[in-house]
Amino acid sequence: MVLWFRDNAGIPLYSLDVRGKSLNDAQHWSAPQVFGPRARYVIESDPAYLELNEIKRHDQGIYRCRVDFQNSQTQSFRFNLTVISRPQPDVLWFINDNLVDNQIEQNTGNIIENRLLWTSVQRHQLHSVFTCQASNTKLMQPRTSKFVLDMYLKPLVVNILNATESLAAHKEYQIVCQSTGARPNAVIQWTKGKKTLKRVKEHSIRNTTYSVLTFVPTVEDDGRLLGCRAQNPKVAGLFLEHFQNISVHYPPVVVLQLGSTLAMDDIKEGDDIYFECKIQSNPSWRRLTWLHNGVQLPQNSSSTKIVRSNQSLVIQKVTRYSSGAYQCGALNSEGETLSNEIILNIKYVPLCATDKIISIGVSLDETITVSCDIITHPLASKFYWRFENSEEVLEIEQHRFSSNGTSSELHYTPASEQDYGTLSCWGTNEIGTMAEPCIFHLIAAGLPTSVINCSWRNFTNAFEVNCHQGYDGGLKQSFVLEMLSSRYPGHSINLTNTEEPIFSITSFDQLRQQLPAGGHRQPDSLKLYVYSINQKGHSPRIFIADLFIPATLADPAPTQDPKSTLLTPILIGLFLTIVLIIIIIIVRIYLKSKRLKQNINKEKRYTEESKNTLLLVDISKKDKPTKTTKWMNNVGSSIKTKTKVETIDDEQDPDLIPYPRLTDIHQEELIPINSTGSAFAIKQHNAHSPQELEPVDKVDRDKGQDRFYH
Amino acid sequence: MWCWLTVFHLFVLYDFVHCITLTEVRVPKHTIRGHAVKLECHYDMEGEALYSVKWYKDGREFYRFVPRDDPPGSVFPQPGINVDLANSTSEQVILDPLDLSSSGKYRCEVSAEAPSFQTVSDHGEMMVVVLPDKDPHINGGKPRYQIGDPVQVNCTSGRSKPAVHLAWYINDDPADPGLVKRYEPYITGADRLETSVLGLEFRVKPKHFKRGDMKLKCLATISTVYWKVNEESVEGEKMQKAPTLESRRAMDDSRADRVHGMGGFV
Repeated sequence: MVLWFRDNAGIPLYSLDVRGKSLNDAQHWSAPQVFGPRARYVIESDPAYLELNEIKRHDQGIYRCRVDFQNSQTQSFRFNLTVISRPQPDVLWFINDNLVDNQIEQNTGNIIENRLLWTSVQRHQLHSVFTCQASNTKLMQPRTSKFVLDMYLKPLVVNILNATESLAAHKEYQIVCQSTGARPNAVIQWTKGKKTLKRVKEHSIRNTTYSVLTFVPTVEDDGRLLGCRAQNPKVAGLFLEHFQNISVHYPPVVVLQLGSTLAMDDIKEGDDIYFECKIQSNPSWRRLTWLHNGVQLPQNSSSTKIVRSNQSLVIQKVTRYSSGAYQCGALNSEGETLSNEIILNIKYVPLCATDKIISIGVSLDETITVSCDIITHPLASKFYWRFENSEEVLEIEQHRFSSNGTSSELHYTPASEQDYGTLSCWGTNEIGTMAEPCIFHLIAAGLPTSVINCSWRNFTNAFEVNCHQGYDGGLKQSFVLEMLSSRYPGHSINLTNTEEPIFSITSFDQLRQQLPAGGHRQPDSLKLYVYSINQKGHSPRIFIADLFIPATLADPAPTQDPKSTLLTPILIGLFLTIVLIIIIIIVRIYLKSKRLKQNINKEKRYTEESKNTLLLVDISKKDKPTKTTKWMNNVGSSIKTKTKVETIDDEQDPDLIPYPRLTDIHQEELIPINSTGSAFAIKQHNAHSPQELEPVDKVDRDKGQDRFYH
Repeated sequence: MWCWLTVFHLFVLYDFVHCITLTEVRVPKHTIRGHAVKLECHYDMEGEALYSVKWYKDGREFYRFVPRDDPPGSVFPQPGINVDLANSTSEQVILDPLDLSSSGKYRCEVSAEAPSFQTVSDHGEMMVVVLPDKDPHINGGKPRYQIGDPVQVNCTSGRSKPAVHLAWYINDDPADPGLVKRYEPYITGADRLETSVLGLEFRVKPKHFKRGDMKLKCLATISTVYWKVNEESVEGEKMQKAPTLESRRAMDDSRADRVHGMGGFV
């Protein structure tokens, strides 16, 4: 039996069992986990030997061979196996073909290891080629294995471009941030203050990243910090930031405030008020203006009690004229802004609405209403009336008059002479009582007296009357010149003058016009009277003179005025022409309507006019293909009528005069001229103006022009 | 570790291969010339069949037990090896009688059968001892001592191999090493046995006579196989009675023959 052991292993790596067998039949066994087929015990030779193939480095060790003899002592032999690499290779590290490490750290078993420790890798070493080279003889090429170093790199540069100058508020800007040097390419993030901005577009070219921010600055953004961060997408700690202050220009933001101690509704005359104008602006404002009711307060405030300082306005001792809307405005390079309005309603003691004394004429036992109107703020809470004549002063009881906030009405009936005198009225509000009352003089009203001292002058075709006025009876009087016709009794011509009894007639034709028609040719004699008239009635007439109006010399036309002498023949001619045209149109329409039975769209429109009548022109396709014109005849009243309106397709019969496209309502108004209704004027209204309507009768129509039909 | 690895492989290949182990290899450290010794080698085959148990002395096989052989046990003579074949088995070998050359390194090697032929072995050292023929002997002691007298005594052992180890005790306490004088053992005889000598020198002090007398004791040992004591006691002069030197019988625990202490001399 031969057993081969390795070191002190319990199981032999090889065994040769010759027990009970011949040497040739011996049983060989090589432990597969040791040498397996690599080991072969050759017994044929002398001495026998154990052959180990493909020696590996780790085969090195001490081997023991134990030979068990049948009849002799067991013998053991020891062998020391040393394995030499043929020869041992050098393992070297190269970086970019430069030798950096030739120290071998581990040399056991089958492995020879050279460990390279490379500290503090720098940016410029990116893409360095690291080569591990094993070589043992110069006869053969060394074997190599290499890798290329890739690194994550922090961005080198980050910059915000084109954002240094000031930005205008509410305008859109494109701001660019660029960054270079990151690996992989940087990702850019924009921040404003603490907020992240999202309207960005990013793109990369080679190793530079560009990010375009669309930014609309607001007023609040002024002074904020705009930040651009270039971030390596792979490593959170590798980033670079650049910040920029945003400067936004905007027109000033102006707020007007009433002084904090004041209440807007509680300012009265004599108070001092002050305003503060709060301005926020970039760039700084340079001019401050104060407006009262839209009008700038004068710069020089020495004349009024207005004091300006800094951003406040002081008005000392306001009056009621200081009421109104106040505004302040500030100007900077971006524009001028006006503030909110503060409306002041300054309270004051009431005042009489008129500073004149009102005379009221009243007759005995006549009841009049005296109205005391005041201007006041706030409203008057109570009124006080007093009657005064030469003998006594009387306070009028409350129940006799009524009042509201701004006026008081007293009903007064003088019963005797003592009841004429002066009425005074005071109003009282929370500020105080009127200093000066409203005063009414009650006087006995009567008829006016006649005019006096009349004189007149007669000319060929004109005359003048001149008088002096008499007593007006306590009321306003006006003067009337009355001219009574001799030829036409009952017929009079009146001239009125509200101021003074002075009349002038520049031409007799004026008078002639006023007389009945028949009097045109004949001479006439007018009796002239002058009287004055007031509310109560008129004074007696004063006879002035007789005025003789001669007959007119040349009077060819039977019509009234010179203008119509020329116009009349023209009008007749036009009228005949119109009639002719109407006839023609009627005929054509009659013909056309026959053909248009299928294509007519009926459009009904019902209108109700609260005022006057409408002209109807009606074509009904179903009933009669004739045109019917209805004239509504009414005197002095308004009618409500319906209009039936249809449109006609133009293509059907282009020869037809296009009938008024009655999407518009074509209205005519009949206005009676005289009371019998025998004469009318037609007033034309077009509801829609721009469309050019060809009217029924082809007359040039000026809108709204009156025409006469008889 | 190798075994387990190999077993694993063999397990995969051959089924149910186990690692054999030696549970105990018993080789006494010291034995006595002329006596017998039982060398034991206990193993656990773990179900494997036994191929051989081999015993080596100093690398040379002297006994073999191979179950397949007939007879299974075989002996290969060597100087110092006297195997009692009749009483030797696979698990023990009896050597009788032992002589000095029986000392050496004894190894037991157990091998399992094919196909693995797993082999385990272990060893132990054995030394054959020659016990002294006489007890340790104290000489140089005076019958009477006074406080301040010098004491100078020697303890001599019998002839042995290896040399006896001696130790002095004063009043049952180990003597201070500074008082003890060592001598090289000297070798005598054809069998080159050794004699040990140990001296003791000190001055008598009152503390030595605490209990009335001073005892001087010499202890002779060889490992655990030999243990002998000889003792002398001395009375101090200041005591009432005249001090007499009496020696007592030495005690011994040896497995060998009792050796009696000698009496003192007048």
